[in-house]
Amino acid sequence: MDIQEIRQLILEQMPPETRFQDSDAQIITKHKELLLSWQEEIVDSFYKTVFSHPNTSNIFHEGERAAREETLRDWWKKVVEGPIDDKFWNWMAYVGLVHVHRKVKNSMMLSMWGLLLHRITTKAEASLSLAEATDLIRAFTRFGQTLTSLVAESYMKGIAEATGTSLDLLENLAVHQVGPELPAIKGKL
Amino acid sequence: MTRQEEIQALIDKLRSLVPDIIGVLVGSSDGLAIAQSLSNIDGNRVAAMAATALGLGRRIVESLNAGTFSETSVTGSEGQIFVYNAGTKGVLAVMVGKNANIGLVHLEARDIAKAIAGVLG
Repeated sequence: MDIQEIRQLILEQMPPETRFQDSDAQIITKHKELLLSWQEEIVDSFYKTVFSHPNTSNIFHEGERAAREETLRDWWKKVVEGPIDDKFWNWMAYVGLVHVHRKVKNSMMLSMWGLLLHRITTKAEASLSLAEATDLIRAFTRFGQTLTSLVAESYMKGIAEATGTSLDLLENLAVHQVGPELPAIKGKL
Repeated sequence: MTRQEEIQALIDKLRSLVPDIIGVLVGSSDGLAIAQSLSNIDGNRVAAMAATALGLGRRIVESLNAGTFSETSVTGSEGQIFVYNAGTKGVLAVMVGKNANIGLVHLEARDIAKAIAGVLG
């Protein structure tokens, strides 16, 4: 699997205005010190939530929490300090494959990103002027759209390709299978 | 003769050589139908299923160090479906009823699969 190609294909699927932009990186850099000061609270709230729910806490081995917290600390530092470039997004596409290996479902990843964004939003609103908070939240919203698209799609590609097929092929198969079943499924809604 | 006409001729030849065959499809390894002789079955769906079986078969063979993938089959109470490797780009799916002469099916279908691989390049 060529991770750079995967990253490129996924980003091309996203409308350009929904992707993370240079102006978003500039906004994050502008608030670097403030954002770095949130690091411990973000890491703490993330893993407190993950470990309080059986389905997500079961992902981890005993005694692994400290190492994972350190990884999240490093990730946040990297996000804030940048650069958020192709190499960074390659890493996020790689995370999707790690999620295949660790059995981290997309629903878990998406909901935990939602929790982080909520935390960022709350803290931005409490620390910045309305205009600055709005800009920062928009920057992190586009960051999250890019991040979650990469992780979710590379996860799907990883699962498909590990079985010797491809996501395009499975989608093609699913189109023919799901299409005729849709009316019956809709009837049960 | 176009490539598709050549493949269609090979499908027709296979059906004439083995009357037990009830359906044949040649698809690309990414799941698109190229040529077929099917009745009452959606060729695109068969092509996608055949390519999926091919991909999974190749991965199993590769993972178990069993050499190069050549064919796989699925058996039901009323019939069987054989999926043959047709080079790097193609797949041949052959459907038969429950009392078919399987030896004859393999004998002819393997040759046709090789011929299809030659056409697809």
